[in-house]
Amino acid sequence: MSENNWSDKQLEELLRFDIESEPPPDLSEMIMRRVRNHRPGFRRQLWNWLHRPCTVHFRPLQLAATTAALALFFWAGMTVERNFSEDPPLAAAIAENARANYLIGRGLLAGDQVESALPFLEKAVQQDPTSAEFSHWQGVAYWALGKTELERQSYVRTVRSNPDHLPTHLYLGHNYLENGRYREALASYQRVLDRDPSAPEALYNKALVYHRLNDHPQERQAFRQYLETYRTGKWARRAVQHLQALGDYGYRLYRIGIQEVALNMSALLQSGSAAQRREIERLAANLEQNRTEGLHELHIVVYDEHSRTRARETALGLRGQLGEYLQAKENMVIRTSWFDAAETLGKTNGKKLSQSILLFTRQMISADRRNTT
Amino acid sequence: MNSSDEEIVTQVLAGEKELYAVLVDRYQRPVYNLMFRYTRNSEEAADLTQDAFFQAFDRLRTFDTEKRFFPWLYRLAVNLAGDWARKRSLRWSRHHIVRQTAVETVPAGQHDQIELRDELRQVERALLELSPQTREILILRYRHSQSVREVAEAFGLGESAVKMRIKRGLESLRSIIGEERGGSERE
Repeated sequence: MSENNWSDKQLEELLRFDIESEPPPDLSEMIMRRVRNHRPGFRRQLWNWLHRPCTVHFRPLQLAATTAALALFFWAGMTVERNFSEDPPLAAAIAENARANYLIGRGLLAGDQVESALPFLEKAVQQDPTSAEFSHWQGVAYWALGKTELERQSYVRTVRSNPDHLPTHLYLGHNYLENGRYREALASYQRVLDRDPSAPEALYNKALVYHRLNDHPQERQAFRQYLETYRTGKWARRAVQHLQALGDYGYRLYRIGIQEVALNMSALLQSGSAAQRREIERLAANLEQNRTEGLHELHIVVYDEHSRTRARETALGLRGQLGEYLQAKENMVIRTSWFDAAETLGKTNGKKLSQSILLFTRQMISADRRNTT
Repeated sequence: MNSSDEEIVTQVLAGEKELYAVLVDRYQRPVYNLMFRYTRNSEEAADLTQDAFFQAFDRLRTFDTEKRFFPWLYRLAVNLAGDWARKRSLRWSRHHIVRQTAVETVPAGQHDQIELRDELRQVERALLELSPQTREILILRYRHSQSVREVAEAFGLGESAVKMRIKRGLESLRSIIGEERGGSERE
């Protein structure tokens, strides 16, 4: 098989090898968590009904609509092309205009036609080398074509002539990060953060650089810094996962209504502190934002391996304070429970927390409502 | 659990939600690797894998239990990966790329193993140069041992079209590998 020209059979044998990577260990659990919390909306139910398996495939209306749409697109394309070719001075004027070239390049980039976009962007840069915007997007086009060296050169030139152009510092940071030049990436991200301390990509990637450098204390601090500002979305989720991989369970992900939210559990456990109040205020805001119509209940479960009394006080204290912040209290039932035991996280993880808080919400059905009242 | 995928789907639809975990455990690896080939980013691939299984669960009622589950799931995942690639090109959002080489899992040590690993690495690299659809057709056909008919169903193509894609895909692979070797000999 080491001969240069493999036969089809030899190539097929190589293709049959199972050389795939293992997915992250907690992936299955994360998927099932989403599945467990899933409730299809009316539109999804209707869609499922309409797309249920059936044997009739010929749909004359759909065929007619598709044909009409194709004819319309064909006609529009012909018209545009004819008008454009009948006006050569316009085309010439566009060719001499840096911004026009730039806009055409950006348009082609948006249409995923990177190779066609690049000459326009290069021309725009030639025509106006002082524009940070033009050279920035030229760099982006190089990146899309996998020309990382040219990409970097574009950005370096841009920030040299326009040191305050933050998007380019950010993308230069990405380029360094992707090419393993971590210290330089860090410097670029820091330039962005000096001017815009809450820039999400710079905050997150700064933490990621420390992760790559195995600088765990800085990584931990940087991911916490990201979470101070951003609590929802996939980057927040990943930041929490990175922290937990470092053994830091201070932040946890909670399903609040329809959204997954990262909350600072350590702060919630600090009874009477300003940090706890801020976190409760944030939780109340998430509860207000994420709930749908109807009656809901929030469960607060506190674990404290060493003191059942303390667990109870924490749970009741949280309920009391949360009640002060919630505006529509009549639609929210808060239930509390407490245990003098450690909480075990996930089946696969097995990690035990001696002091922790579990929060989750659920929408109540009418039977629950009767029990409550 | 030895139930077939389709039996499990029937039970999940009857309300046994937790059984879906069996399907996740069976297929998370190929779906994750599919996503990784598109994104070249382990975290993004994990996110897209979650999305694929979640969407599949959401659309489970549209699945025809007379057919095979895996090609259906694979098609959904390929579509999702394609959407991701299109959106990325529109937004140009970038975070980070954590590159990893799939063939690292092959044990090394003896000469023939090293040689095999080298060959597998060449094939893997060449696969990444094919169009995403041709690449995934070859992977579904050979690595995941799906019949031509199942591959055709998964990609919404006719069987003869799939056979043609496979033939051309193999030719392209050979040509890419040939070029690569030629290049290294010149150096």
